[in-house]
Amino acid sequence: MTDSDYILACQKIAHVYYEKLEVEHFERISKSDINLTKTQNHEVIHGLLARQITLVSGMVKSLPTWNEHIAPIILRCIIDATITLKYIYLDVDKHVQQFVDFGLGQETLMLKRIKERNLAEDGEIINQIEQHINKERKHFLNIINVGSWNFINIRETAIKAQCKELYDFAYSQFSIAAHSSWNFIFPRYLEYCKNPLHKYHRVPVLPELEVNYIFLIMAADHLKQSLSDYDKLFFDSAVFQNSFDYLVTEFKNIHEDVENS
Amino acid sequence: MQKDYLQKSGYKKSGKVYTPPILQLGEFTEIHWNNNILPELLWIGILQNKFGFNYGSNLVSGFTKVMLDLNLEKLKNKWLAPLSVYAKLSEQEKSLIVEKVKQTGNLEYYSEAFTLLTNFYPEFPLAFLVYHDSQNSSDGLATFKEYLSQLFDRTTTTTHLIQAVALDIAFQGNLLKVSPHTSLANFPAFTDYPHTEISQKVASGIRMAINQFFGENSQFYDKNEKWSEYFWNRGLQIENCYL
Repeated sequence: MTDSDYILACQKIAHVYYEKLEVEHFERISKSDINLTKTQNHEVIHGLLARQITLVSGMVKSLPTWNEHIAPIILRCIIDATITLKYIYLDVDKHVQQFVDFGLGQETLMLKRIKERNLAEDGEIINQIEQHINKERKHFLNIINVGSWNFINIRETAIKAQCKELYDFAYSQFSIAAHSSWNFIFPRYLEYCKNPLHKYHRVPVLPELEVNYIFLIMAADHLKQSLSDYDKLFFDSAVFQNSFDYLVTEFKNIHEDVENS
Repeated sequence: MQKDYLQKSGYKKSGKVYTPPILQLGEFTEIHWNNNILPELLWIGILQNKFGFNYGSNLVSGFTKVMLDLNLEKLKNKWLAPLSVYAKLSEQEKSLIVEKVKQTGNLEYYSEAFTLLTNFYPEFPLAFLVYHDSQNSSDGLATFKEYLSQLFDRTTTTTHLIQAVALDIAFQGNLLKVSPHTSLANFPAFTDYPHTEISQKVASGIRMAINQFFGENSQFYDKNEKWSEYFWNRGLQIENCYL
């Protein structure tokens, strides 16, 4: 299999996977039991799920993200949302309210910062942000919390949501990419100069953005876990097309083709 | 308890910081072989490489004897192994040294050995021993680079031979006395390195002693000396990086 055949095959599988995922998603939403007296609950939960699916969609449509340089940042976002959702499910009414309050408070804080710098050209943007917030809640009614949304850190959130392994072995590992920590940087962006006169120092390199389907599978797997959590909570039994199984099977076939060629 | 597995391994928690067992023993300072020590002792290695270990080391000892006999005020009680100790000699002092070295009949050996280094590193502290007038040689540079590349591993026989002679200079100058119970007391056993256990212990003692001579509180080495910094940065002017 040539490189271009490999890329084309990956693109095709990814797109079909996403089409199946979209169908599953809309079927899931249409079957959801929505209580219109508690719209905030389903809006937050469905919004977070949509966020995760969109992140995966971004990867589906952009093969240069399927590598260790870009994918971990996206994966961290997906897992962050999974931990948040797992925690929300522990007490939906209370935790959804905390989540919304924090978000509106953050938006209000941004508004205050912009007003504080007192620039003439900010007039229009201030109006826009105020209207944007006021549609949710009048900005002057928002408490601003500069800590975390649920008053504990993400690690403690994962512990309470009984997904500490997810935090330890996935979220934390991908965090080093998001923060560009030294242990992420030195193996990837530095190479040893071979000149002994230069003490074998390391010089920066710009690596190629390789395409490795395993990163899409990782994203899809984490998304699948999140969707499974939702399904277990809100449906007694649900039969949805399993987009993830399709993805894994098709990439396994590609892998065998690559091995055999 | 959070991070039980760290504390079971002996890590000590203070706030959000976990300190490993070895760092709890006291305050550590780092001595960098590559950064600081290698450039200072390089002249010893160059003599050994050029003339063989025995004759090269004899040339080192011979030079040290000349310096000790001259007993220059500036160098009294100084460890004569690091190159930077020679960086502040006056022209008069340098001429005196050259005269004395000439009398030993060995000046041409030092001149030949240090010509390349002087050509490529004009601030080489022993440049005053060089009278050979030769062009920069790219072949010579390649040979030097190949030799230098062997010196980055501090635990090889080659680098131990350099360190051992540097320590011998301290013995010559009466700067070092060792207890009969330490491995360094068996200094001659080092010649069997790395094939015997005693020679490995002596080697370990040599490395430790060299660290102390170059260490933070050493009275024998001035950490503000610039030779090491000059040596490495000059390399960037001599050639570009290559991967």
